[in-house]
Amino acid sequence: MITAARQIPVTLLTGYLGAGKTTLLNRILSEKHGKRYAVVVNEFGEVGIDSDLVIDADEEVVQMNNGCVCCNVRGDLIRILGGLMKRAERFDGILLETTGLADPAPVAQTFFIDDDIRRRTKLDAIVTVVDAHHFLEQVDSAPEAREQIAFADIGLVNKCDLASADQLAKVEARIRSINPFAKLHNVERCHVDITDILDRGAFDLDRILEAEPGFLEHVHSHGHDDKITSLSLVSRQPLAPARFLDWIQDVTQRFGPDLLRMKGVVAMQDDDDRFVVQAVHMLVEGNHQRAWRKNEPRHSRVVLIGRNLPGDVLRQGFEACQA
Amino acid sequence: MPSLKAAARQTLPLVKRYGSEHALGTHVNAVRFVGGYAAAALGDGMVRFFLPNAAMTIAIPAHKGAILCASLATNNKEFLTGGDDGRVCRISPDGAKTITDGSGWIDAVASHPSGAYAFATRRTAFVHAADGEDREITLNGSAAAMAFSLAGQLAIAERGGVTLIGLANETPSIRRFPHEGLHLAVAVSADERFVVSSTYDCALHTWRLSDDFDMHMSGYVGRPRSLSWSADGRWLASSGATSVVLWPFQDEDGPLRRTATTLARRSTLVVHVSWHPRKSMLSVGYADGALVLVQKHDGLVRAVRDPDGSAITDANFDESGRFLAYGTEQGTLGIVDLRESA
Repeated sequence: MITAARQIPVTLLTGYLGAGKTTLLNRILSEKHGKRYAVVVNEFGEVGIDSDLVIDADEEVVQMNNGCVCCNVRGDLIRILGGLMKRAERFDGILLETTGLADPAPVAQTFFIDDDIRRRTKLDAIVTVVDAHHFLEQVDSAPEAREQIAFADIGLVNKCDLASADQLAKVEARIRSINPFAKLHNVERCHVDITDILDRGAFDLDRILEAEPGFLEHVHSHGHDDKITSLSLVSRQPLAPARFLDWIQDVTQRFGPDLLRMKGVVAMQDDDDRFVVQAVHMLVEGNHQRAWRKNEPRHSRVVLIGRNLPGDVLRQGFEACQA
Repeated sequence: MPSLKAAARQTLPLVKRYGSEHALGTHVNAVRFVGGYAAAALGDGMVRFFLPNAAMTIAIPAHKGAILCASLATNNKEFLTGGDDGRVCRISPDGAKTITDGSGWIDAVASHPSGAYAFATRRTAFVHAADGEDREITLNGSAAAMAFSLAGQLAIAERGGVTLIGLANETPSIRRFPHEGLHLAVAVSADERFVVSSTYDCALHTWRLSDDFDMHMSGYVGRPRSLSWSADGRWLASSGATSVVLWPFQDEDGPLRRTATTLARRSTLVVHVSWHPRKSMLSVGYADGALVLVQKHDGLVRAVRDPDGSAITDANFDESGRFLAYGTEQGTLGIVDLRESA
C-alpha cells in the first residue's frame, strides 16, 4: 500500500517587540482544542510557555549559493524541523515564534526551497501581532515592523482596549496601505478564536486567495509615503499564458530583493482553470487551481507587496500580457 | 522447466523471499548491526535489537524524546546515540549507559574504533580522545554531521564549511575549510587525502587536504545527504539524484574533470546509499520506500523492497556483508539474509 506522509502545519507568529506574541502563543496552547503543538521559540523569555515540547532556536539566517542575493533560509529551522519529524506522531502542529526584530522572509523561503521540509511540513500562515497603541510610531521608525506587516496572512491588532476608535481606524488604514490581503482581527490580550489563525492554508496554492474572499473585490488606497507599498494589478481580459509566465519570472528576477510577497489569480486565454501564483522575493510558484465557476467573473488580479516597486513599469508589463 | 510458481517467486523482492519486516510504529532514525543484532534507533527514544533469522528481540529504553543521531561504537558492540533530551548514550542489548545528560539537542555523534567519540550540541563539539582526554571546540553554528576518518581525524559539517580536527598530538589541530552555506554531511576518504561535504545547495564540495585545493560537484536535483565510500576507497557514492551517483577518487586529483557514474535510475529520488563491505555492490534507498541492490561492474539491479510511500532513512550491511538491515520514515525495519539470496 502506498501511503503519503502527513504534512504537519507550521504557523509563524511574528510581530514587533512587545506586541504580544508570547501572549498569543499561550492563548493558543491553553485553548481546549485537543491538539498538541511543538513550540519553537527564539529565546526563553520571562513569560513561561505552557507546553511540554519547547525548542530553543537561534535564528541562524544562511544565504543560499544559488546566485540569488535575497535568497536566505533559516539553518536552525531546517535542523529543528528535521528533528521534530522524527517524532511527528507526537504532535499535530508546530508554532514558530520569531523575535520582534526578525525578518519573516527566510522562514517563508525555507518552505519554498526545501523539498524535504515540504514533504513533511507546510507553512500554514504568517500571523503578525500588532500593538494597536504603539503601532503607528513603530511602523514609521522600524523597517522590521513594516516587513512583518508586509508578510502577514493574518494580522492581529492587539491591545485594542488601549486605543481609541480613531486610532484603530488609522492603524487599519496603515496596515492596508502595506498589505491588502491580510485578514485582520481586532483583539484584546490576543483573545481570538484560534480557528481564525490556525489551519488557514495561506500558502496552499489550492486555497490561495480563497481564504480571503474579499481579496478580488478589495479596493485600497496607496500612494502613502511608506517605502513598502502594495500594488494591485487587474485585467478583465484573459492573459496570454506564455507572456504572463515570462513576465512574472522577469518581475521576480528584476525586483526580487524588493518584492516581499506576491499573490495572484489569473484567467488564461483558452483555459477553463484558474491559474494561481505566489512568490516570496525571487522564489515563485504557480499552478492550475480549479475550474472557474459559472457565475464567477474571469478577471485576473495580481497583488505585489514590496519596497519602492515601480508601479508604472509593472502595470505596463502586466497589461502587455493581455491576450 | 521451472514451474510458474518458481518463476513468480523470482520476481518477488528479496525481503519477501529471504527476510522479514517489522512494524515499529515510529520513525526509524538509524539501523546498524550491533553485536550481531540489527539495531534500530527510533523516534520514540528506544533502541530495538533484532537477531537475524530468529524471533528474538530486545527493547532498550534510552532517550526521553527522539533519537536524533547514532553511530556504531566500541568495535561494533555498542550504539552511540544522541537525543533531543540532551543525552548521549552507549547502548547494547544489555542496556543503556548515559555518557552525558545536558539540555540542548544532540545534533550529531561520531565514534572511532580507537575508543574516541564526539558529539555536538548547540555551537559546541565535545571530543573524547582515545587517551581519555575531553575537549570542547566552538563551532560556527550547529553541527549537521560528524565523522571520524579511519586514521582518527574528526570532520564536522557545519554552517559555512567543514572543520577537521586532528587528535594525534597533545594540542588538537583544527583546520577549517570554508564554503558558504549549510553543510549536511561529511566524509573523509580512506587514504585521508580528501574531505567531502554535502551542501544545502544540492552539490558536493571536496577539498584536497595536502593543499586545500577545492572542487565543486553539482548537478544534483536533491540534497546529497547520504555519502558512502566503497570498501577499496576508490569510489564515493552519493544520494540526491534519481540514480546513485558514484565519484571516482583513485586519481591524484580525485574527481576533478572526471564524470560521475550513475546507476539504479528510477523516477524517484535516491535518499540513502551504502556500499557492501566486501563486494562491489551498494544498497540504494529511495524517497518512495523502494530499496535495491546494484552491482557496480554491470549495473544489475535487484529489488530488496517494493515502494510503499515511506522514505528509506537508513540501510547498512553487517561486517561480513551477509545481512542487510534498513528502516523507513513510517517505522518499518527490514532484515534480509543475502547469503540465502546468492
